[in-house]
Amino acid sequence: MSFLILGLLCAGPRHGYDLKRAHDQRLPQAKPAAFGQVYATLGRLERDGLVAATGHDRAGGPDRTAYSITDRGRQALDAWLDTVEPPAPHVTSALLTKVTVALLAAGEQRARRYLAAQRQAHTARLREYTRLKTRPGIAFADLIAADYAIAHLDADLRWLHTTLDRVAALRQEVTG
Amino acid sequence: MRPGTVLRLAAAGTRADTMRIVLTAFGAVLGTLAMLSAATVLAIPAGVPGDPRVVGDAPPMAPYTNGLLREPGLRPGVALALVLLTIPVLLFVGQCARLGAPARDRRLAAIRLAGATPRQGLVVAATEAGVATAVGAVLGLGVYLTGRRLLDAPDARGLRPLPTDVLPPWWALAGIVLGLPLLAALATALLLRRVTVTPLGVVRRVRTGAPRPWPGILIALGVGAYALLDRALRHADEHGHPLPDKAILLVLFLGGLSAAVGVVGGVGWISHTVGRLLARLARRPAALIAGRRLQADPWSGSRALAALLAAAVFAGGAAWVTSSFRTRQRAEAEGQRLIELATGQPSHPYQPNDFYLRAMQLVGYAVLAAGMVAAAGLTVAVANSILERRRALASLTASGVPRGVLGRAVLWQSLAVTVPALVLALATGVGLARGIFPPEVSQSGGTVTTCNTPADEPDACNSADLAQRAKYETVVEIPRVTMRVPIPLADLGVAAGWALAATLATTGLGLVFLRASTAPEELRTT
Amino acid sequence: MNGILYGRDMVKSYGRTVALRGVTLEVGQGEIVAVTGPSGCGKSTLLLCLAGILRLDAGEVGYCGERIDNWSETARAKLRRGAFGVLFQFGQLVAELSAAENIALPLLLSGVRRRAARTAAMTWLDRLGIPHLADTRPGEMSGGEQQRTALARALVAEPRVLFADEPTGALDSLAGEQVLGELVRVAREQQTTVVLVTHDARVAGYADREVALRDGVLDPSGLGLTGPGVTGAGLDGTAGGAAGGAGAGVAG
Repeated sequence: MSFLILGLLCAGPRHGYDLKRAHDQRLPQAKPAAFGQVYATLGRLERDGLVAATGHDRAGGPDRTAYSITDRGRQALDAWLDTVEPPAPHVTSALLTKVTVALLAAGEQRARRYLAAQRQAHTARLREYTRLKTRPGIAFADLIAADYAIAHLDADLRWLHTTLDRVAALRQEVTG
Repeated sequence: MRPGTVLRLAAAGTRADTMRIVLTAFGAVLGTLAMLSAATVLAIPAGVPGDPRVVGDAPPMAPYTNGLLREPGLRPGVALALVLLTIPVLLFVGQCARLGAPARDRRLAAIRLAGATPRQGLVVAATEAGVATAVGAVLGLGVYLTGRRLLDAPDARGLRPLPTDVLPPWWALAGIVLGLPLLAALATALLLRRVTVTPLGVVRRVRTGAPRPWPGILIALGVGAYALLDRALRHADEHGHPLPDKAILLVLFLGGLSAAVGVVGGVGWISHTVGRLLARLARRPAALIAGRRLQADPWSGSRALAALLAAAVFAGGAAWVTSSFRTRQRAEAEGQRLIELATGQPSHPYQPNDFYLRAMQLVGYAVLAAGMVAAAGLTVAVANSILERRRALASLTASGVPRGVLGRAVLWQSLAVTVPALVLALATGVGLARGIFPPEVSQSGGTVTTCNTPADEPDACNSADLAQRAKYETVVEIPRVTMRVPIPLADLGVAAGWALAATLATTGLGLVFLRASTAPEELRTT
Repeated sequence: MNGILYGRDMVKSYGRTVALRGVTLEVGQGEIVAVTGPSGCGKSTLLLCLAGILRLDAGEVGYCGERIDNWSETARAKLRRGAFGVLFQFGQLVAELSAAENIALPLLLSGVRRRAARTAAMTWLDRLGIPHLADTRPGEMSGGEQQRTALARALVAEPRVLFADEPTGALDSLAGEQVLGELVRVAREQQTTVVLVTHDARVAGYADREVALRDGVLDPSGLGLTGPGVTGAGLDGTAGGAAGGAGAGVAG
């Protein structure tokens, strides 16, 4: 969130309310930002000297105050952009947990039922995103977000297939 | 499908396809010229309908300087030789028409995938062959007509070296110029009918597995036709109405064609069987590869060897005919010797009949011409093999088979099929000729009356008094001289040797290009 | 059976390998159906049999309520240039003809005059954004352009059903997306039924519904799972989906 706000402020000073609207606009697929979260973040950033309040309506409260990014803020933003996002450092995923439990602990019938239903849910969602993507006049941000979702859904599906193939192979080994 | 579309689809092609069209046209020019020459010689007005075996007498010599053309007895032989020579030429045209065929078949498969019916595919392929042949036929006619003008050079006595003063009847000209393209189109359609071009880019040949016996049937038909013709001729002679010239020639042509096509078709069976044997008995990789490739595509040999084998059939027949003539000469010589023995005259050496000399000269020329057609066929085969072998061998090279092994495999493949095929072709030729020129030659015997002039009556033999003469006359029976015509193994061996050497040479030539053509870049799928 | 296209108990083998072991499905008018499954599961064979390119060993295929699997090769070829359009991964364009001629080919084979056929071809080239390639040969085009040309050819005769077998398999993701996008757009516009074979879930996402195959039979779970409760209702549109194949059981 902090760096998103810093990024949004690069173009020029903005009010707090503006920032919330911009957040929702740029990340349409994410959860809409709460005002409280935005103001808290702005406060933190101001305290750290990364942004400065510039507007006249200082006394009117954060929603009437315009903020702008400071030089230190720009430096911090540059440093952040220069750092690579560590790819999946921890394997945490609700899907992984559930599938693991299903394979190890649930009975065969329940496991099968769950897996088939999970796959169906994934393919349905994939279809949804694809339909979204092919709508004419789609915004660029929406497009790349949809691509992201589709790629991950596809990855999940392929992982499901591979896991089941491994289980089948293991079974054959065991039963001979 | 509109004619414009057919032409566009037939003409669409790569360089290999253009080469095929050009070669087919060229072959058609040769074929047309050969057939027109035969028709011309036939059209020379003659007194006695020609039976190649009988020496004509009495009718006037034709106005040509060429000894072969003057004698009415030899002329039908010349015509016959020309007509029979068209068989290798036709098969050569067929070979040309198959040049680069796999690529053409792949294109047809793509067109079929786009929705062409099987008939439409046939029409496109047959049109290409038909149009190319038609162009060649018309060109051939043009060459013939111009040649007639240019070569017309009568000398002081009004004699010409070539029959440029005779023109075959218009229906014969039309028949040849129109018939050849039609034949080409039909033959292409027939060949493709057996090939199921499934529209998946894969050409599946229906005749996989053991090839069917139709080649044997064709060979038997040809040989049988020749044998029957001999009977029919004798029968007709005995009963006083000799068979018409044209009919005889037609039977000889069709029978020869049938046998030649049968021999070429037999290569399929030979390849399949040899392939199986090689694959089972081979110890070295080269032979094994050759065996498998023969089994996989038993018809590649027939495509390469068609003209050569047709020429070999011709050569086999010519060898037998020569042997038959020689035996005749020996029989005559023997007969003369017996007469001289009986009459007590000193023996002089046998002077061969001029006819036989000329006839054997004719046969020699004809075999030479056939050999040239065979050479042309082999050249086309080399070009074809370069085109066809690329893909198959490129993948073998890429998977690590050393080029030396590949080269040996190609040689094995070539030889293992050529040797049996040559034997078959030569034997068929002998069999055909045997039908016309029987294996027994006889010089009929007879009686010779000799008169021993007594010392005291020098005029006794010349006396008009038969009774008196009878006292001093002896009648000697000259037995019938019968000789078997030997199978001319020497001649056949020479022919086979030449053919094998030529095949080896051309295969070797193809292998030279093999190095370049098995570079792994050839593995591209386009 | 209803629907514009159906196949019932289809069986097909290549030599000793059995590709389809009895598959039944039906496709409704205007639907886009994806046939998915791992490689070797028989989906390409299914497509070829439905399109009438391959003959079945047993079972039947019907189009508009009429059996077509027993039609002659000639009749089925005519289908391919009128009612059906086919699109493959590669190898379907005639290399020696230009793009416009390739596209016009089905029309030319049906006897349409060359000028009219060329006009139709140019229209499609425009529609798919490649009018500049009209006189170019396939060998001189990129993969994406080739596939768009092939797509134009599949659609030029305005078919009722379009069969596509891994149409984007040889393309990178953006080129593939372009081709698929065009395909779906045109199909929706013309109300064309589409049967799309793919092993890629992202391609299958373009379809209205999915039919999963495994080892030559329908696989309602899509994962090779068998057993009660695994009908994956809605996946293939038929009740009580086929018996599971040799799919994995799950360790209990």
